[in-house]
Amino acid sequence: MYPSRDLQRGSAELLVLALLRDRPMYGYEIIRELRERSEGYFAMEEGLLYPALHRLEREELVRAEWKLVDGRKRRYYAITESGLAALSSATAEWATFSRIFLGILDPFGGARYAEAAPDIC
Amino acid sequence: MPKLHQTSVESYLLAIRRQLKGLDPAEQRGILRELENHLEDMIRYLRESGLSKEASTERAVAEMGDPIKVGRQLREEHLAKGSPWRYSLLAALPLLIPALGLEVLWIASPLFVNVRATTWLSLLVMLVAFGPILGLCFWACRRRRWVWLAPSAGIILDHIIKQVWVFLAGPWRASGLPELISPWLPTTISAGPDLAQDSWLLLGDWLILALLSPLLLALFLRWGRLPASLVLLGWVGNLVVFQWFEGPLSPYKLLVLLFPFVGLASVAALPCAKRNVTAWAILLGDWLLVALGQWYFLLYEAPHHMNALWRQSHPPTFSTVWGLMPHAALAFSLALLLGVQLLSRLGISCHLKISVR
Repeated sequence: MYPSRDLQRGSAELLVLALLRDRPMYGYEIIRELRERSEGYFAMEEGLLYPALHRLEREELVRAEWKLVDGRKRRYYAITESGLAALSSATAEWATFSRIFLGILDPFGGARYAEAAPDIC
Repeated sequence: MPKLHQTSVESYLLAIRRQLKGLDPAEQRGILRELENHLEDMIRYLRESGLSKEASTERAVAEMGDPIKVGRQLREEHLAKGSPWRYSLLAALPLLIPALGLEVLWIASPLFVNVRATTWLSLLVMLVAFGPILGLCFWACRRRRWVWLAPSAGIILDHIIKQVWVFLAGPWRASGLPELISPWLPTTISAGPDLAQDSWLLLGDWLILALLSPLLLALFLRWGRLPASLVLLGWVGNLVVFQWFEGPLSPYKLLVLLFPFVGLASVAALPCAKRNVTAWAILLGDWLLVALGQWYFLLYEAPHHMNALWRQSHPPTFSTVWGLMPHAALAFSLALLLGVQLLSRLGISCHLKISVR
């Protein structure tokens, strides 16, 4: 089962920021990492990763740099201080959103999710 | 006959490239290189997992998604970002607009006759001093670094037109006009009538300008804090030259000395202003200095310092036009810059349906 298009839209940037929190990565590495960590749940048209990355760069949430690694020039993306702040804020927002959303969808099960959710704030 | 995997990847990249029209060539190359890298990585991975070269290529290209959609989104992103080419054009406008406007007015003006022409030497000095700038332009063309070209072209065009006009007619130099419009004019052009003095001043000023220009242009790419130091450097350089050849300083002379470099620094600061508060502060400060200096000159110094030709033949309304034109050009450029920024902001709000901020 894959997430709907609406749910994916906008969350792609957030997921990319979350991945880049660990270390700088290049585009293909981000796709692989996303696929592995989500066990294939998050899959996207791979080309569309780049508009998202360039958007984040324009917003100064990530910075990009060409590096020569193993004889190949790759464009590495690293999260910035603003990116970390945005990630933290958006994570808290998503946690609240999920808790309330699930609470309405499934009043009894929602409580379980809320308990299981990490205390982000 | 090209191999299948080559044609597929190339076709995909070509389809993307078609969507990137209008972006800076360097930007286009960077985008395509990045996508090509991605495709190569994916093909390699798929081949390692047992697929044939053709099947790997086909699948990799398919996984990338619709190239038109990807290309369009990339183009939108880069247009919203504002390419260095556009900023450099905006930065060149304050040079080009007053240069062209003033030259038209000069040529059309019947005021400037019966004054001696300048010498071959000044033209020669100008050409020598333009060497570094022309070299930079050549390098920019060869390496396709267009961002370095526009401001150089602006500076060159501005000064070539003025120098040619000085060489051909020369009368305005005795009128005080060059000083009045001097935000974009080296001060030496407005020097005194003595030939030897002119030559030395021209040499000094053009060399300073030649030294400063590449540094100012370098600022287009990275360094946001240089304008202030460059203004200082240019000002000190001119101060020395002027002090040496022209005697004691006056407030008016100090302002005249300041004009060309605050003008150039303003131009240089424009592209940096997008994300740099310091650059904005310098830009606005420069503009204020230029404006204040001009008005000070117009209202107080001009009546005292203009020579007979100026006083007799130059009506006040005309001088107002001279004085205002560079500021209007700068204001126009700023308005354009702000417009681009505004559009960019609107673009952001359109793109991020769920903001990550």
